[in-house]
Amino acid sequence: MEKGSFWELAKGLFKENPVFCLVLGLCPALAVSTSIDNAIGMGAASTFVLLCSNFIISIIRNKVPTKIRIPIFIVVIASFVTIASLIMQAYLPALNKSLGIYVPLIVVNCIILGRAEAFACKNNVLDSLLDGLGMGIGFTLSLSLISIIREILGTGALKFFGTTLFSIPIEPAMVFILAPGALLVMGLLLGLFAHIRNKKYEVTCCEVKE
Amino acid sequence: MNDMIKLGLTLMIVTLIAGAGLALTNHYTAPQIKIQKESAINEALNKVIDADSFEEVEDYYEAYKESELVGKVSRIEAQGYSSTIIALVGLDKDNKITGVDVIEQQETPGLGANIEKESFISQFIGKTKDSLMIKKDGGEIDAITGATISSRAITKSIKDKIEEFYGDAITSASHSKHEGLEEADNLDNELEELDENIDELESEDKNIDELEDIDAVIEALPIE
Amino acid sequence: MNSLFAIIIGAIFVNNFILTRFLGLCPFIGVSKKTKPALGMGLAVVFVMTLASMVTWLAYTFILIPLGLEYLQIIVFILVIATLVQFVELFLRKTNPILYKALGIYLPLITTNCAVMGVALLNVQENYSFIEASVFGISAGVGFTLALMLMSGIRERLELSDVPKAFDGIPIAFIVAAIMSMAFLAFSGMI
Repeated sequence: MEKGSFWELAKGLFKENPVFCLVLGLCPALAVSTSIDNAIGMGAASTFVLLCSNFIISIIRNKVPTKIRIPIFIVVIASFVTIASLIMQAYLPALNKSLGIYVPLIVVNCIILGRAEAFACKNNVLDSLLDGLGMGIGFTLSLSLISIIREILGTGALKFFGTTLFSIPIEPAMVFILAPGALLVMGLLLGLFAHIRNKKYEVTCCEVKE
Repeated sequence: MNDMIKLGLTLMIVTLIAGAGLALTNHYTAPQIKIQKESAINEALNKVIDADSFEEVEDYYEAYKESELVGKVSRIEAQGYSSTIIALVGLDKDNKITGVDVIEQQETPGLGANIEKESFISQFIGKTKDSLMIKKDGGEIDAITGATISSRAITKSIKDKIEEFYGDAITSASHSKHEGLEEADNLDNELEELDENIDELESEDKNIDELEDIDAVIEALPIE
Repeated sequence: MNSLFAIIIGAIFVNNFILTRFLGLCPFIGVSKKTKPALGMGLAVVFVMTLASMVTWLAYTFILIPLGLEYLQIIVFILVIATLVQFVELFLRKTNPILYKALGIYLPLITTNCAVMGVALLNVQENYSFIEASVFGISAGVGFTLALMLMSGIRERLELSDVPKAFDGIPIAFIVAAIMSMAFLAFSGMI
């Protein structure tokens, strides 16, 4: 039991990291990883939604008719995203402004629907919560990693909520803050992790069977 | 068919519960959101002019310090290099710039985007519309190296906005002059009328005098 | 008219949905291995995006705003999109089996496609009129298809070349996308 629960939590961090192992949640991973503040903010918001939706879906999992389970999951997820968005507008307006439309876009984040479909609707509440927490933290860690690299290489300094942690003496390459930089960093990191894990990637969502 | 209806109903119930939950959250967060929006506006307005309160008038804000009008804040939209630049411009009563704050832009990061920076924006403070052009165009504003278009766009937009206000001032000044002249005309006409009245009254006076003379003559006649 | 042109060029080139905004990356990576399915996906997306753009605009303007329910935007939009996709799939299956075979299989993937939801949200953010929103929907879809077609053409050739083992498949796709994105950066400042 102990090992089982701990595993549910820990797997999301490294072994089954949503971004670098399951290749999910790419859109926000690239779009908001321009600064570590944004990364943590987005990660926290997504984790909140993931926790709440996994919780509710796990509770109602036996009462949901299979045919309409996807629309119901979507309604649940969309509700929590709206709640998160309203809370951010009210109490964290600066963060809400930097994240922009990517806050409401949490609703189409493959991770959340993916975990609901693959895990929460088949497992008990505690495990689902742990799974959500693990995946959420893993997501936040991946986002932070990408942001740190992009911010240091792109602006020459690492700013954490206003305070500059350190800066490098080399002239920064702005391309890392711009769109191509995100794709480049992502590609390189994916290659690095594929090498470390010695496994080829499979796209779990959005693949078409011919 | 029955199945479909049951499924449809289930979905509807779930949606209604969700909707109720959201309505509740909205109820609790809406006032705070409104406060945030207002304080964001006030903060932005205060960045460009020193004032206590603002009043929205037509399409700009009038700024008051201790109930006295000290100037106004106007919003400008400039067609930049790769986006619409939106900024707030503060003007004092003589239409001299008290401050500029860029609130929205998507210009090239590192180049045009630097119009947001103090080093560029602070140049505008104290300027009037006469020197409000980038140095290349004969004015006093130092454009950002490599971002001529962004610099020129925002400078021109501010200049145009001030000229709008000047235009308003001039039209209202000439309006007042026009009104004044009209008043003068009206007064002239009234004077004429009064003069005529006086003439009439004077001639009436004369008539009364004559009548009095006639009276005197009649009195003097012996009674028949 | 001038601003419609700016919207079209903006959505296809300057702020390409995939290469600049990163909306629609999942299908981009998943479906771009061969050109034929890429085209099919692209056309399906154009169709859904345009319809979704129009319907969500109507729902927002004529239902949500008058009732003061703007906060239900997210939930209404995603349900509208999901329902729309269902109906389109049903309609295609019944009326045009050939077209269904070509496009229909991509439709379920489009529901959770960031790009479609993104278009709906951007229409509201930019305060577009109905015409502007519809044009934006079509242009965004075209931009998506363009990026997808370019990517699939490149990846077909990549299959034949010698990619280092670690980068084979998805990582190299990202690096290719990075180079494409850099090329598209040149479009900024066009409008």
